Amino acid sequence: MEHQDESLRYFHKKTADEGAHTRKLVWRIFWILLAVTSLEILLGLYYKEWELSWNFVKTTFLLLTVAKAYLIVAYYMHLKHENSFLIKIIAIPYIVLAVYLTLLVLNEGIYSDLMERWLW
Amino acid sequence: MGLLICIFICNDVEITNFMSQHNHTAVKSDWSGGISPFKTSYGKLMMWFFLVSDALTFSGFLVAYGFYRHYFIDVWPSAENVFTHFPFLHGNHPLLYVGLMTFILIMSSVTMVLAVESGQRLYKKGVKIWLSLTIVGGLIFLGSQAWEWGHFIKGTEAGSVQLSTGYYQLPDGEVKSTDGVIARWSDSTKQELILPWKNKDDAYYTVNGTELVNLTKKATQVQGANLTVNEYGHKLFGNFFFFITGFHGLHVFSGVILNLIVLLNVFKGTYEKRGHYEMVEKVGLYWHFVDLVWVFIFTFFYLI
Repeated sequence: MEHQDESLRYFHKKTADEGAHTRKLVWRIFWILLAVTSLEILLGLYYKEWELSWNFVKTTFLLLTVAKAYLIVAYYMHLKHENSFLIKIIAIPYIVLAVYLTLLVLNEGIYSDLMERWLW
Repeated sequence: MGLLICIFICNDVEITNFMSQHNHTAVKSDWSGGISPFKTSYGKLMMWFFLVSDALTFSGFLVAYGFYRHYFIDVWPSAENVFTHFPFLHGNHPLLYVGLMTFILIMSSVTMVLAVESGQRLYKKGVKIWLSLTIVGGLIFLGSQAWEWGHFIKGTEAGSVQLSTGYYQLPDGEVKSTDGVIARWSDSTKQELILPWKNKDDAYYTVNGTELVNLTKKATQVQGANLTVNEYGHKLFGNFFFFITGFHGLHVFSGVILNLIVLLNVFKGTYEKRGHYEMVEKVGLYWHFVDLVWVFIFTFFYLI
């Protein structure tokens, strides 16, 4: 019961006006996500015909993916409108560890070739 | 030692005095206990923590995938040559089917966030409708994934050839080991084999005639994909594909189950009695996370 009361304490009933505002935002984000995904598919299908370099296309894919991830986390998961401590405790550990992991593999991965060639 | 303890206690006293004199109200408001400093309930906070750890798990998988992909860049298949089927259509349609799957998952994310929004207004009918649609979307996605797995496992009609131990000298003089290398037929007549190595003009080398007979003397025919070999290229491609999309599919499946349980509770009126629909918000967070992971799988497996 105590647990239930705790959830009730942080619950604020939204009015019809607030609800309409949220729904409008949700659909706007949906159109952006759809447009970005369509753009990615078009790029993937036609980048050769449009004579774009693969490195440029790859970087664009990565940036668009991060943008989509931001929109989903910030608006669909409501993280943007949460308490600032919550935002920090969720975003900072993830970003730091994910970037660290990627950099580790980028930095140390080059040695795997040497190992295969000289150790075995 | 005693000195240290003394300093410690004195410091403590000093800090306590300082807090009570100057900063008492500010500290009390957020971090001195009694209320959540995150202004959210225990359950929701724990869902967030779980999602962070799960996100790191998926990051680990994708980074490992990226590493092996670049390590075997020569013989790694290109997704646009692997996933080319579309239901009821003939011919090559790369990216189309996976684009449809992405659309289905984004759409079910929208219905989920609308269910959450209805719950925040205590509007039971809205939660029922939108949550049911989310479950339908999840099931369609799972079906699509099963269809794609089926095609990947079954493979193409011509299949490909796995070369045996030995060496092959490319026309430019470079010698390559052929141990376990996968070479695809250029068409179903099986007269010409495409080797996984490129020339200066970025085109693959091909062999035919007597050279082809010599090269494929001890080779084995491969059709479709499994965990030990696949006809599209390096076997790790199949392994990573099965493992990562399978793990994601497992998340979708458990998300559908969780949504079903919550939907049953909505119908029973459990959350109405509680006075809030926080459980819908919590499974909503999980469902959006599943969508989020798919955004990254879509990029790293199919686009790049």
